[in-house]
Amino acid sequence: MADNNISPFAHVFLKLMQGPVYEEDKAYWKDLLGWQTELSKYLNQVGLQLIINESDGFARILQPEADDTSGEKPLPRLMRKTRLTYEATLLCIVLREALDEFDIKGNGTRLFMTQKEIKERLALFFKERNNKSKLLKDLNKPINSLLNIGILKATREDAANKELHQYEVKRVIKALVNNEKLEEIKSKLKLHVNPVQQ
Amino acid sequence: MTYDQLCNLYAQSITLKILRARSAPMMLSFFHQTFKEKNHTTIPNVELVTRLSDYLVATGYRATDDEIDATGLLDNEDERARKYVEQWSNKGFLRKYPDDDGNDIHELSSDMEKVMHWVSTLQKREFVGTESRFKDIFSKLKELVDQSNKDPKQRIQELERKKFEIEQEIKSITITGKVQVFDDTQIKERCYDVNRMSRELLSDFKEVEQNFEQITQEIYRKQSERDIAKGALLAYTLDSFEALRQKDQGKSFYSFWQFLMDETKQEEMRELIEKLYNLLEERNIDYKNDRFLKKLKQFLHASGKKVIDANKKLSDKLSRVLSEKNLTDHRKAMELINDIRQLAFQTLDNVPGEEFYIDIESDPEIDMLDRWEMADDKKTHPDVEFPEGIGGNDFSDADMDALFNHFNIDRALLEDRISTQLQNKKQISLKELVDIYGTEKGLTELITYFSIASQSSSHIILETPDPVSLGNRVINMPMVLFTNSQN
Repeated sequence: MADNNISPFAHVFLKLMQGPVYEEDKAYWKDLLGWQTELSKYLNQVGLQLIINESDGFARILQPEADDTSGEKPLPRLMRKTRLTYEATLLCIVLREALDEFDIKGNGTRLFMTQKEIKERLALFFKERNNKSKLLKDLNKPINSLLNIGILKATREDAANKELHQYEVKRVIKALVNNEKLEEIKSKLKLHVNPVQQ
Repeated sequence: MTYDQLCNLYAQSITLKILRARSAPMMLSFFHQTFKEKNHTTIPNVELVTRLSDYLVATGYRATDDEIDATGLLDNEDERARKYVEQWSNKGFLRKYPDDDGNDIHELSSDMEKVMHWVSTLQKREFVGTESRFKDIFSKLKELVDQSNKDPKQRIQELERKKFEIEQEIKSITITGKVQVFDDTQIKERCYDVNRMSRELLSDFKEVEQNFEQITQEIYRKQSERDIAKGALLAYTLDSFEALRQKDQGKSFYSFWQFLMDETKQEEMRELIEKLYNLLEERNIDYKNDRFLKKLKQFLHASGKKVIDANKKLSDKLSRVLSEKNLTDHRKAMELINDIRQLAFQTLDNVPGEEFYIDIESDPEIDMLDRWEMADDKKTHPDVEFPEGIGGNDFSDADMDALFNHFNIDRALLEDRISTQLQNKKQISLKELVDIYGTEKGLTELITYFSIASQSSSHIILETPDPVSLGNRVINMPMVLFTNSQN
């Protein structure tokens, strides 16, 4: 069943369709950099963009928002949009900040955090209820939603103590929660804090 | 070494802190056993804790030092071992960092290496070899003088003299048939020296690596300072980069690395070491089965690789720092995060509910069957389910009418009911509504409630099943909660 028509960058393309490709995926990363021009061209034909962030070590596909003024029929959405709750949004902020802090300290290139560490940072944003353990349990939800969209990745399970579950904070968070997104979050939150002004 | 300087040193120096720790004898002996005797550079956290736990049991060590929490006296050995390892890592006696898979691993810090080396020199040695070391100094002195003499005449003279000496030696061997060789003591002494120097070299690597990392950190710290001018940062960065390559340490390290990576040199070294061990066996010289030298190349390579990696990290960071866009982006992001943090604190008493959400564009949505993995926890959709015994199998027309034959649903009426109920309550479930008002219009009415719930963000549809009775049927459906957005 060998098909000679398969292009040499097919494996990278398919990998990209499954989610971001990281520098750690050495085999893919090297080929991705090598075939980037061809891949870009190929993706452009169907209205997608290849974004490579070499300094942070990841690449992903981006589907630009449909341009209403062009008069052409907008293309169907391929990229999944995920709705984040307030809690999950705050978790994004917390993780984004942690990653930046980690980079300044400069030990290693990948940030790992335990469930306990994540929750400790996040819990600051909620009034300590009488039932602290309920609060901590509730914070599982945002962690799960970020696991679903690949910002967090479980790297170690600790059956005896769930608090020691360890996650990696993926660098793609810098693209998913970029400055534009941060602006959006800020203005939305501002509106919530002070609805009268607007 | 003034009094003040020493006070400062005693307060700051990790090396001195290690020596003064009450657990030092236990700690040093444990590290010697686990790292040094087995020539391990790194050990996973889990393994180190287990080993320490065993060690504490085997030695019967009582935690009388104040290094771990006194309340832990009742803990078992595992717990105590875990606490010790954590303390030592926090204090900089041990290094702890995650490997590529995120598992914590440990290695001795350069301060710990220093202490262990110094302590080992305190031990009474089998014998103190002075001859070999004096010869070593002598030959180094000669090398130093000879190799730095720029005068060609003198250089040639020196080489001629060496040539003469060599010729003399060849002559005497051919005449007498005898070669002058080292005696056992001389071999032993030299072996000891080579071993000692190799071990020192390995420990020194750690310091080189740490110096590289320090420079990286400094650059990053400077980068995050708000007001530093870009030019100044650039200058500083380039200076450090240059300094790293030009400083004695960097230069020396790189030429060493080149030497180590040279294939013919590698082969030569392997052969030399092989011959040395053969010699020791032949002469029956006891080397206490120390295979350290045999693996020296491997150790050197492993430790050298870490330095190279640290350096690669550094140049990666430098390229990040040098990109102006990243720099301004980073500062902007930090500002925004700060603002958001402030706002989030202001809203502690009034945390946004369902009406607050952010859309994130994530992976492409391709959900073909063959992409499902067994381990994937697929989300169960809140389908209406009819488990056995609920719903019934009565499909007669009359009964079905009760379910479906109602087209004129007064949506406003339903909305009214909800808001009436919510006047003195925070939330009400669909089940409660049905209990109060019944379901005059059957399934269609239920669906209309559903549609009201799904169109307002203040209402919640949960996946938990919450059966609702419809006539004489029980319908298993997702829980619907209508909540009061004002409360």
